[in-house]
Amino acid sequence: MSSHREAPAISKDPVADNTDTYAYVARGSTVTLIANYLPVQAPAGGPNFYEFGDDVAYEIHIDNNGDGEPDVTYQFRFTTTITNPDTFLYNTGPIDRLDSPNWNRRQTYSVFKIRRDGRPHTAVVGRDLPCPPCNIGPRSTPNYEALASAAVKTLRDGEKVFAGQRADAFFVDLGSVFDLGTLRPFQSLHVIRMANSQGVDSLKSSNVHTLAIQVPISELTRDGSVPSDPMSDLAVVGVWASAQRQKAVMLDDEDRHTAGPWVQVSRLGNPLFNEVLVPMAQKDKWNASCPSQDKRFAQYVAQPELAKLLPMLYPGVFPNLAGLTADRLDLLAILLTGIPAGRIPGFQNFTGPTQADMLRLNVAIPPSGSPNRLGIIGGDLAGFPNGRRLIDDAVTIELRAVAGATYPLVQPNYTPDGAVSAIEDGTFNNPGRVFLPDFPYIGTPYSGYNVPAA
Amino acid sequence: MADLTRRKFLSRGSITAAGAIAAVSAGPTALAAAANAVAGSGDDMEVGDLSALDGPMFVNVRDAVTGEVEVLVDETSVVFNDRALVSKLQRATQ
Repeated sequence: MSSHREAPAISKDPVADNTDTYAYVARGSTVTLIANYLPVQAPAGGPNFYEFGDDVAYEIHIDNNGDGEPDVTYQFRFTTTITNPDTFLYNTGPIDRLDSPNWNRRQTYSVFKIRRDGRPHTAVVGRDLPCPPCNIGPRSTPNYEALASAAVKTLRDGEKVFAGQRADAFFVDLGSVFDLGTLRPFQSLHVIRMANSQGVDSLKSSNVHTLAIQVPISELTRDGSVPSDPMSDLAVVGVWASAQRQKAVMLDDEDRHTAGPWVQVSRLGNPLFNEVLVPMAQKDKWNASCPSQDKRFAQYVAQPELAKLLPMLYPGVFPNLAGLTADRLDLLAILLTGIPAGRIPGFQNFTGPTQADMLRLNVAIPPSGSPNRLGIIGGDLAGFPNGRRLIDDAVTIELRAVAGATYPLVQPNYTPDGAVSAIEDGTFNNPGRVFLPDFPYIGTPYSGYNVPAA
Repeated sequence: MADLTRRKFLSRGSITAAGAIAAVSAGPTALAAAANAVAGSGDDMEVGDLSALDGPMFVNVRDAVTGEVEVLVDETSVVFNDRALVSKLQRATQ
């Protein structure tokens, strides 16, 4: 999965587990930033339905000078209240509005905007903002879309914001890929041969908790401009999300005490970076560190383990990849520094020499009128790895890249294996994955009443 | 990012106590001042207004031999050396 249970420690702390981060240019000179947490929610998980952690500081970061350190941070802090202490129920009747007295356990949140780029800094830009309830079912949340829409708010500086449960936008054939690297299109060619079959989306019908914020581009660039030239270095910003917990925790009867500085326990920039590239023994360290320190993980990008495994798992299918022993300068660029000018006509998202795992978004590239799920390798400059959109098929794109599809960016004489263009995650065509036409774009969460279907 | 992660902190197996060791108000300056007072005065220190302490305070003995202690309160922490304090805490647990 992109980062749903990608490291040993955070897999035991789902409330703080960052699953996916998205950043893309939306309408009206704005960037939509989405960070998802709380992975693999079964929609029927009541009566204690899913919620953000009051003791977690959730953050979305923007680097606008290429040093891998945050220049703008939006921090979200939550407060849970129980309105009726005498019931075990999440709701005692239909929840038809956000202040419904029938809703027993609800969350509000504050948003802090922390600037470190010389412009006016730390401020509370939103307070007591409501989360919608979880999507319980047709009797409890009969008009869920209206509840969610009512939870879209505007911050002090004009940003739109939303925090609450959503359908997971990510899709992956997890059961296959971690069953010794099975790629469904090539099952019959695996060293342990099986009949070919269709991909299975392991996250189909599961929910996450989403932080979404739509920010004017001028709030993100280092000079406050709205760049129109994609080749300008002012046009590229780095984005990642994280979660922090306080250093000390003590459980005392029913109370939970915390104190001390905030310590990062989860982060996510590029999808699958920690999951697929970083060795198991390093994953927790990666989650606790800042992108500016990612040079120490660059060796795992330069010589990705998966690129060595594919020719062994599929004998004869990836001969050119098997002979590719040089450092993967293509992956180092895509994931750690951005793609410099001159490699792709009309495009760059280079942020400088500092190696840092961030989504790199060129804000001067307008949204595509006909988005291609394969993003840049599909000829769509508005898609991953130019930031990341909800529709981008991150697993297929990255599998193909690791298998050699992007190596010609740095070595034009290299010919990717013919099988590379056939690699598919195989889970893209899920008719249940529906995105909204307006902010927060990510889809309505599945309700437990019908999921899993009988 | 600090070298001492939350997980390492919780698994260190050190003496950890929730309780006031000095009169402080939340905030790094007051905490540092209190730490200096603790480090310098031992059992003879003057007890101040303990009611000013609001919220939990955690004491983490990072190295008993050197007396290195980390005190965490509110959203801050301070590290200092006080072997007498460590000895006192150890005696309290026996």
